[in-house]
Amino acid sequence: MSILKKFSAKAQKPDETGRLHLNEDKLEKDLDKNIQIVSKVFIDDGTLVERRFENQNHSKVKCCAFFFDGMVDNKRIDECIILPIMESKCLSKNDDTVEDIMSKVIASNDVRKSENLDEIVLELLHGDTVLLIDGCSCAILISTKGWKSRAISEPDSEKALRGPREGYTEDILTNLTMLRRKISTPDLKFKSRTFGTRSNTKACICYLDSLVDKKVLDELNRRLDKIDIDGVLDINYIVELIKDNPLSPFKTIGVTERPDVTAAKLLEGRVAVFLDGTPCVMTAPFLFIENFQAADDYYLNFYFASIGRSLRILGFLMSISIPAIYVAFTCYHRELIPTSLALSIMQSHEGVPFPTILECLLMLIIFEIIRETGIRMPSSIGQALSVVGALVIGQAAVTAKLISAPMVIVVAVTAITGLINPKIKGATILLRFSLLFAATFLGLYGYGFLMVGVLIHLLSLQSFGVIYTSQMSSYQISEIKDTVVRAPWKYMTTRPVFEQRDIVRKK
Amino acid sequence: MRKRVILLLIVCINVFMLTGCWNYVEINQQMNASGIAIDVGQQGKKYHLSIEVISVGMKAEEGISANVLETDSDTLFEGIRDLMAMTTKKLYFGHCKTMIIGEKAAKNGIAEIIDVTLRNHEVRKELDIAISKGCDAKDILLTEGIATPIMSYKIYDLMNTSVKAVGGAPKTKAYLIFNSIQSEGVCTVIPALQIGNVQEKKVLELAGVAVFDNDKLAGFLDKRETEYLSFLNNKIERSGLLTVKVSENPDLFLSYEVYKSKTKRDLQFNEDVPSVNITVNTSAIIGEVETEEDFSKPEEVEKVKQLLEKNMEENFTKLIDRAQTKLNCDIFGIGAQLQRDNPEMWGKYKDNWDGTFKKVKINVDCKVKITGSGIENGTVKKGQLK
Repeated sequence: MSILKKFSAKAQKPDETGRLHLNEDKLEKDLDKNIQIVSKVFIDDGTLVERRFENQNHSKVKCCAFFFDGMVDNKRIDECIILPIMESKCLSKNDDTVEDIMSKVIASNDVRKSENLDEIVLELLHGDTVLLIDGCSCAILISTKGWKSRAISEPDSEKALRGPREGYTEDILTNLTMLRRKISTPDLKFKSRTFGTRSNTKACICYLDSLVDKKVLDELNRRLDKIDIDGVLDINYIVELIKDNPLSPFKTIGVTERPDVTAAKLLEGRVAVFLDGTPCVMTAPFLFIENFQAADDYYLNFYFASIGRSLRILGFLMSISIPAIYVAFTCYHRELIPTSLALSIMQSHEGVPFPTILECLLMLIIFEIIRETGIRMPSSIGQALSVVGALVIGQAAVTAKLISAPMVIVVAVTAITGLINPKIKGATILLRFSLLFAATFLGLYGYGFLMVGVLIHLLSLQSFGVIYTSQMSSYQISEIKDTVVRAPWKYMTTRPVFEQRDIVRKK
Repeated sequence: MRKRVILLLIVCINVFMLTGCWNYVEINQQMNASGIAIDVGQQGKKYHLSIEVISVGMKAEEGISANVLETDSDTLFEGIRDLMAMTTKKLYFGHCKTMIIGEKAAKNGIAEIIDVTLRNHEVRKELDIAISKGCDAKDILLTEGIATPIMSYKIYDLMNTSVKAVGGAPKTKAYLIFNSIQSEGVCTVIPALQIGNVQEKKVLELAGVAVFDNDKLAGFLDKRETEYLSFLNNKIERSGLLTVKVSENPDLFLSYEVYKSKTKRDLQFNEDVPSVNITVNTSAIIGEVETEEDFSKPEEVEKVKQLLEKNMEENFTKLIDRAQTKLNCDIFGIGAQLQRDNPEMWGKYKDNWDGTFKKVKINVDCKVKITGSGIENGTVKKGQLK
């Protein structure tokens, strides 16, 4: 699909200024010079606070603290850094001043020394306090991060009937903590890195070292290393840049907002990538069946869970097929409709000015508009939308003979079944319209051809070297234990097949 | 790459635009035919074709109604084309469920008529076929429906559901009849319909079967005869009916419902006079009693049983006699059975089967088992309760 390449403009030489890692200056022994160096980096930045102070007993011990207003815990700076240094009696100006301050004066749990200006700048940006001391060519970095973040709440997009009600927030450290509390083992690895040449967003790759497939991990790192983008505001930036078969409508990387889901995926040998600033966490590899798995499938009785799971799969198939099959039946294969139904369809279609396909397209598009409006509009005018949607489009359009009554039912069922699987929404809409067109041109044959095509595409997909439809396409019953039905926990003794190491889940 | 994309686009556009929408017809652009009636044509034409079409009203209150279109033509295909000129919409036969062939037309042969229905791709192979008895096929479509305005669908219901309640009926589907006409050693039987009177209204009713010699109508069997035919052909269904006259008193009857029945036919064609021994094993339940038997006593049941066996055998013999002498049609499929059981022997008789069938000695042995007397043991003993 080289057509899509046209979206990208001709490659231009990137302008490197503004990116980090370009500071050539070095810290010197003189405090005033050092202050100048730091101030020069953050020139025209009003939020940077520069606080000079000195020790009461030895006025030669001069210090200067730099921090960003709002990103730090002011109380900690006052009480743990400035006050102790001012009042300290053990300080004197010599070569050990820095060591003394670090070990004897500053009451903080995270204190480091750095001579690298790049590191200093980066930590400053992440909410640390930089302490410069006269006569020393290095800076002390003290962790004083403290900003307002959203409270932990249940994610709206992934509600569960039972089970944990917590969801990730925008703060990566909180998120990692939530995961750590689910899996308490040194085997759980957190590899930090940053994304975005200008945004310098913190990220963390998490996996269970003894379970993860090293090939998957290496491949993930290889792809992540290739990313060169100015900023990442959500995990989807990364997902789209590293996913297999990037133009496929099917997701090959999972995204979740629930720590319990992430923990479950890590326990199956997957890798998770956390990104600061977003409650969404990606997991890979991602299989087709995961589109239909919900967290409470595992928390509820397996009969109930299996019914829910099969309904979700059925819902997906219905949602993509119903408009296409309705058009194929009424316009090509009228003999396949039971006679009495055919007569009532005929009756309701009598006097409707549009061909079935146009009617169907119109209604489907109107529904998609209503759905999109529902997301975008302020929630206070939701009632107006439902009145207009239900009354005008449903009832009045039928009474006015603009559309036939069965079409309203068809679109309604399509819409409802389309909402059952939010994870595969994009593919559902795309497939629904493609199948509708195929059925309009060639009837059930067209529908069948396109379905076969979709199946071939699905079977050829891979996610980080794992076949996308594995588990679902297996003949071995032990491998389909967690697909259309969810087997009781008693019998789910092994992890999914794609995972190569320590496959035994429970004895 | 660019070339490939352009090529792909051209292929896609051609596939969709040049083929058009293959067979796309809006559901309300067509007129559904629900039934066909075929009679002998007037003014020298071969056929008189009547087609019942369904008209659908714009509003729900207008409902569904049926009209009958008629024309005369030399071939049925021509007739259908003529009728399409009368309607504003295309005639569609996908929902056509019944075809009625008039008695006179059936006498001229039905093979060509069925051929048309099987050849056309729109008409279903499961089309139900019936013969009108004592009237034109057209008149059957024009009788007044009781439950539905569409007569053809009423006939369809009649032949597919009501038939079961009154015992076995031969298969009525077009493809089965076509197979039956083509096969050797068996005569085709097709259900017959006639117009009866109920409260001075013309009402449709089943009237046994029409018997065909090859594809030409040879005669009719009435309802009871049809039932006995089903017995002999091992096709009687549950809840078939038997009515017996109690010998001493001509006004008293007993009615039985068939519960289960199995017929075995043993062909003896080695001797000079070919013979067939038919054994009918029937389980029956008493349905209606006009006498005063006590069915809790075995001897009483035994008496009734013998009566029933005798009565059945008499009826069977009558039917066989009629088939052999009057109709001269192998409605029992004895020839076909011989062909299956002993193909070499069939070779000998094949050429003169009609002549042989007349002479075949058919013996019927009836065994009845009375399995129940309904949910009542005794009978109403008028004024005898102590």
